[in-house]
Amino acid sequence: MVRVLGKDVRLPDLVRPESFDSTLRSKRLTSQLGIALGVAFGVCFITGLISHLIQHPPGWFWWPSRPAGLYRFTQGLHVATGLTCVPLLGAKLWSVYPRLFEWPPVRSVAHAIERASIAVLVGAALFQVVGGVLNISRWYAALPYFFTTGHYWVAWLAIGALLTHIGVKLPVVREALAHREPPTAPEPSATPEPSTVPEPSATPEPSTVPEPSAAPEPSTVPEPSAVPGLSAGQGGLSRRGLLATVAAAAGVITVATVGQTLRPLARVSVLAPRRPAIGPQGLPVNKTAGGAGVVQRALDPSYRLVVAGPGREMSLSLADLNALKQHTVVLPIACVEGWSATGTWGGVRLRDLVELAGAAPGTASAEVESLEQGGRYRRSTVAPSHVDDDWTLVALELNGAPLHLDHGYPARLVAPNRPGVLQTKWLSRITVRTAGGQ
Amino acid sequence: MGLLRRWRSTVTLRGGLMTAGGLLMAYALFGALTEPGLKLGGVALFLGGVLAVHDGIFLPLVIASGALLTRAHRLVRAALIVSLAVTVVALPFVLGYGRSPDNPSALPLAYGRGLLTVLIVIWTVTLTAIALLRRLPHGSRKWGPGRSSEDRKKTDHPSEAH
Repeated sequence: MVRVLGKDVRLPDLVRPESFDSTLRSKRLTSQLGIALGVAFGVCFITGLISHLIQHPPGWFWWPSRPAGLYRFTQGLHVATGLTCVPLLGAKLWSVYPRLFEWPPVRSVAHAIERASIAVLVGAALFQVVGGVLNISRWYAALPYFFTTGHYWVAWLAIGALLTHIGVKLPVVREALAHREPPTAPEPSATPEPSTVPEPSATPEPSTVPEPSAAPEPSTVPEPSAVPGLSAGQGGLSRRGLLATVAAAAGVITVATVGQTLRPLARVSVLAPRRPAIGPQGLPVNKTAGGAGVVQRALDPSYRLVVAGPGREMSLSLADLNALKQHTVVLPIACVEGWSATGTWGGVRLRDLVELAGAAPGTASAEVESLEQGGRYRRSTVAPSHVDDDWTLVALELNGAPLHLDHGYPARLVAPNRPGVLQTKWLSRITVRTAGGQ
Repeated sequence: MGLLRRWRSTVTLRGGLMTAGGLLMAYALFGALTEPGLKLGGVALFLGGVLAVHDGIFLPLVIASGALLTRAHRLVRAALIVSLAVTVVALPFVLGYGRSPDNPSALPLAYGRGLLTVLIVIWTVTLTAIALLRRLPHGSRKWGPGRSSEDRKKTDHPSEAH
């Protein structure tokens, strides 16, 4: 036995569920946190899946070019929701932590499967949230895997484990939420939850009272006679208080970061990984020309943009491009990392170039290639819906001046409702394909 | 009978969820195994690593720290939780390993100062709220320090009796 804060604690108790005597833990609390977390994960999964499908479109997938800011919204929501999962997941895992020390660890085959699925769920959830935070902080070296594919496949793992978990726990959740007032005795249930029962020897309160706010709370009395002890239920937060605290934490994190995509909050968001107005020509950059290894080729006076279509192939210099009819559009760059910033772009409509190449814009798609020698994003496909859109430009200017080298000089793609990684910079070739082949 | 039907539909729903979940996990495993360039070993390492660090180090430390705060005001506890969550999010930005000299637009802010600002705001609000609550008449406290059982008997707040 050891004495901790004037109390005798048997060492073996420290690793038994009963030794976690916070009366704040309850099935009701866990259920409510679980539902909030489930909704958050659902939002992240759907918005993440949308982003994945846009970047790797299967045959059946169609993504419109309008509204122009839709992807900015879905991906901003993805990252903002993911960040709110930090306090939500933390509180949820805290609320069930004692069950990690269940004894015996395995009671039956079904119990073993259930526990394994929970291990998968917890691991996958932490993987997604921690990996996501490291990714938006660009700390790629801390990730021992390729982020985008890892984040994608573990998302399926997390959502699968989550569905299984909901299936297993549905009766417990229903029971916990059915009564406005939780029952005063530990509920007889298929899955007993010892954590809700405070150990009698560690608390002066009757062990049958699971709700802290319903019990006398001696330690919150400021007098020195207050009973100190390990019991966190004393004077601690109520269930509603903890839920409000988690909501407050999520709110503070959101306000401190969401300015990376919500411009009015940019100055308040002191922890945002990007500020929409900071960057060359007042716009952030994800990949620089130096990082992409294109500086020499981009600045080469013999630069030509090749436009190849079913009818003809053209080789256009920057002067040729500038001589074509110019248009101006206001469009955001919306990064997969959740930031976005609006620019005023000037340049040639892609549909004009497609027509010059002898194809009909409504049915043609365009494969655009960068001056980059390699890399996953050196080429992208512009679907007919985007080719046909008047706002899709081969941009030569940003905010009234020729493109900065880091923004894709001499020419880049800018299209509405499209992830930043697909707004291909330093264009070298456009291959126009019609629906029938080519 | 309605009750029986409801029971059956619950069993079907639960079975459906578990089956769908199992299939999705199998799909994830298959996808990860066939994905080129993923570094599957790295995924497994990170998956086990975050689980071990969270359950074995982080959470025990948080719980142990919480156990030491037996006499802290509930708003102080709440502010500590909010501060911890914000710090977890801010830490990679403050450490700044993602900065690169050729791209000053990535991580452009002074994040140490930003975190400090957020923490100062959290604690100013918290301490102000506590000071205001102390001035309120005893019976109308909802978020204030807990009342003795004597007080509670006299003025049981309806919103606290769930």
